[in-house]
Amino acid sequence: MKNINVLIVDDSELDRYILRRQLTALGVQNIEEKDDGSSALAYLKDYDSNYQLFPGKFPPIIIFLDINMPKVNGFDFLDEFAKIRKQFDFGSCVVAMYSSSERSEDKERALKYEFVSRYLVKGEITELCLDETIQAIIKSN
Amino acid sequence: MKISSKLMLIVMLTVFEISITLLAVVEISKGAKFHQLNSLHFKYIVQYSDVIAEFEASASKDVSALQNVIINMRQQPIECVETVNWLNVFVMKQINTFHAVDICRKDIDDANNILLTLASYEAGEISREILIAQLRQSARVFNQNSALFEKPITDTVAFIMRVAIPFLVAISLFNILFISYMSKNISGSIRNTIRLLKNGKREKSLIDDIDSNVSGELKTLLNVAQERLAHEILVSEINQKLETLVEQRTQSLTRANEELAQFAYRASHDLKSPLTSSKLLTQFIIEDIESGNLKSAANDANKIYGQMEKLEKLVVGILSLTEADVTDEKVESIHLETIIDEIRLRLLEPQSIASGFIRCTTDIKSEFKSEKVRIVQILENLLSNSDKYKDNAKKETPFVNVTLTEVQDSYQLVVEDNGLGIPANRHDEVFHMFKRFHPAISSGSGLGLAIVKKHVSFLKGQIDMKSSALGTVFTITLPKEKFNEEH
Repeated sequence: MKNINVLIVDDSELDRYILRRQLTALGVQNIEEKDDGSSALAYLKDYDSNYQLFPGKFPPIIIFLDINMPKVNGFDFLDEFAKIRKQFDFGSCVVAMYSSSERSEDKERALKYEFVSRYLVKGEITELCLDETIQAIIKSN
Repeated sequence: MKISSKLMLIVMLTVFEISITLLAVVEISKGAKFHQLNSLHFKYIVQYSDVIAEFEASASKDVSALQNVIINMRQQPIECVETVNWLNVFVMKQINTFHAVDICRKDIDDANNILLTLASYEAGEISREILIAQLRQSARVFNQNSALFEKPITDTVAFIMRVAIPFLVAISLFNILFISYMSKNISGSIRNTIRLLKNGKREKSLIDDIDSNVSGELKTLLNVAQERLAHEILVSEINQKLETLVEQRTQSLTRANEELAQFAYRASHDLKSPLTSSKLLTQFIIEDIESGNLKSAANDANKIYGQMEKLEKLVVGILSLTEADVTDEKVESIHLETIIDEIRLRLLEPQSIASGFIRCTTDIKSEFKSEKVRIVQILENLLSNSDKYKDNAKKETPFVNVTLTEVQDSYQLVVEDNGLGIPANRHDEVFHMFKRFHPAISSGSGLGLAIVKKHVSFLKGQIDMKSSALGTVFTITLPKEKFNEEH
């Protein structure tokens, strides 16, 4: 559990803080935060240098992704990530949506991507269900 | 000439031709009748001669048989004279055959005379020999009359035949020619009209062409058809307009409905998220206190405070947005500098007040009259945005200029600042609810500009946002009439 690499992409500092704390409580240590889809994509695309810069902490295995972000939103990110996924070595990387939107169309749209495994609604996440999510993802890998 | 008149002329000519033909037939048959009467007359003359011979042979004094024959014999010339009409008289006089009628009259007179002679014999005034001599004499005269009558009648009939047949042929020929000409003329004008209509000219010149080239019933027909078509086009245009109107209304209703649904969704979402975060943060604080990590607890408590502040702003924003819908403030004269001073003290940070952040210019001849509460809220929102989103990276000191001018029938309120501005690709979202453009700098309710827009709409004005050389310009145009109408 400790050596799982996690990336949180969310424009809300508070939501990042809350998720980080919940993940830390579960024993996850390697957590990277990005405040927008664009900075997250830049981080992922700069694969080689980040691989060297953060030994053992890059690439992330799980990306927690918010939907509503000002510049590059969650869906824009997913579209772009689908393209670079094969190009770089993100085959084992999965995305868990982390949004406050409870709209079913958002949920359906996100889960259409093969690499999106979960749709978590902010505020409804308990440590227990977060733990289950992570375990399931590790097992599938 | 009207088509109906042309057709009428054709009918009249035909009727005339038929009448002439019928008249000729009648006149010719009249000649035949005369011949017939004359042969009857001959028969009676022969009978008369026989009766005279019988009378002579017998010793009887009875003259009734003679009288009967004479009366019968007198009947044919009477019929002849009665049959002759004024036209016959005219024609016969022209061709010198009128003496036929005179012969008839003489025949009648002769018959009457011999009847008188018979009466004299019965009365014993004349002797039987004289009577017989007179009877023989009269038989000769009758015979002579009959013979003389034959020729003028034959001449008259021949004349009629001679004249009528060429005349009828001439009239028929003329009739055929005239009818052909007329039908050609009628179909020509119809073809001409069709050609005019087919040549796709513009409406105006077509109407002029029809006016000058078409006449009579065709013109009336075209005029009526044109009026009818124009009416129908008008009706269909009106229908189309109504349909468009219904469509527009439906669209705007649908849009309003969508906006309302969007508002409900966003409002509940934005209200919920600080609450859920705070709930989790409270849980963290409890954990931290239990584990003795008081610094982290205080940190989280601060975060809750921030969330509560955000929530408060949002609730206030939603309230003023709904208020903007219902408030019907009275119009009063507004002193712009005064309300800006008030806003300055209420909203700005002390250093902004000191640096003369807000500059205000008014250039109006009359008083600025409007609904004060709305103007205050408009300025409050715009000025606090300018204050929140100052661009400290720029060389110039941050400022916001408020300018009030008059443009024809409206006031123009311009608010320009040199702040961060709004990303060009998101200009169309500016007045939407729950839109935030600089979340990193300040987390407003996302309702400020929506509130401004709503107030401006209520004042029947317009608001427009542009990026300027310095930063951002909001131009609000408020019509003066709105206030004049009501007051």
